[in-house]
Amino acid sequence: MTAASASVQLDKLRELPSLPQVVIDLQSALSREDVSIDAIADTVSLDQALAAKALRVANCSFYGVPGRVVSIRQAIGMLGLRSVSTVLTIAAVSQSIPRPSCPGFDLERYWRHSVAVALCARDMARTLRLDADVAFTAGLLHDLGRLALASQASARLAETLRRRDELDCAMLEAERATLGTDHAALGAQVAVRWHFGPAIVDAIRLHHEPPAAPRVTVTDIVHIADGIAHALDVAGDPNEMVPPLDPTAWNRAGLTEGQMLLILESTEAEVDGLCDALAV
Amino acid sequence: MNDDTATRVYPVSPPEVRPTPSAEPAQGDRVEWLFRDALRRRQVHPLMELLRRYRGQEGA
Repeated sequence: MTAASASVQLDKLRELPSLPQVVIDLQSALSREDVSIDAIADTVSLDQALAAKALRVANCSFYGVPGRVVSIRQAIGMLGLRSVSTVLTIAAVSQSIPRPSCPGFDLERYWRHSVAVALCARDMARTLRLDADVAFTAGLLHDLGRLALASQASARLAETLRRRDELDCAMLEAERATLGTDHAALGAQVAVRWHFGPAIVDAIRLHHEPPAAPRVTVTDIVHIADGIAHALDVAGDPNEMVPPLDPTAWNRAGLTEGQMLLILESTEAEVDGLCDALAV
Repeated sequence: MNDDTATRVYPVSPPEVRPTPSAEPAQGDRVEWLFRDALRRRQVHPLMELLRRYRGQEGA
């Protein structure tokens, strides 16, 4: 298959549904100062399925909130608008992509890996004093292109998975040779359509090849967190393989061994709880 | 936003012939298996020793 014909088939990715308007509005509201929390809470509450899922996530042990969060307004008061926006984004993404049916693609393993990367990226960002919510969301969505492929171009992904298994090579390598592109580029296209900010889009696009930078970036963090989640084997994939790690990104992060061991421990400890809350 | 890879297209190619991948040893070293790509390429992976220490610490 030529790159052009592969591209035609991948056009089906454009048919993915949009995120709910309230999530797009929240993303843009976060960059403004005149945000009305009441207005946001009212809008979110109108989407009952989304609000219910968001409350379920807000009540899981991950957020460590004492007592029970029963309304979106209360969630914003207790967790802050940024964290509630993250919760809503998680809920919206997990319900916006049609459930894939692709031989060789395991949705549960996909989410377990994504959640582990998100948790690990959040902890690294906190340690490095970067934006933990952005790191969390970028980590959660870093393989969005793979999910989009499974949902919208399952035959192409199945072919790629077969190739990876036959050659025991990295998935990225198999995608480029089979599709003429990779999940990182495709995921970034979806994230742009879904109005995510540039830091998240860049982290998705470049999480396998972080570019040179004067200091550590969210992309570096997601790159390292992806390696850690593969190394921790959280998805339980029999073909698990830890991807190459960019030594310059690793050095820019500059975390000590003690810090890294704590991050590995907390990542493993929290995966099950958050996956249960997300029902993924 | 960095658009370096936005329009990059990779050449679609037929599968190349490679040595048969090694099967996971039944009672082998899982860490070694996870890092098999780096080991095959004789690359030092910064996470490999960290993971060994973490697993050792966990079991202690």
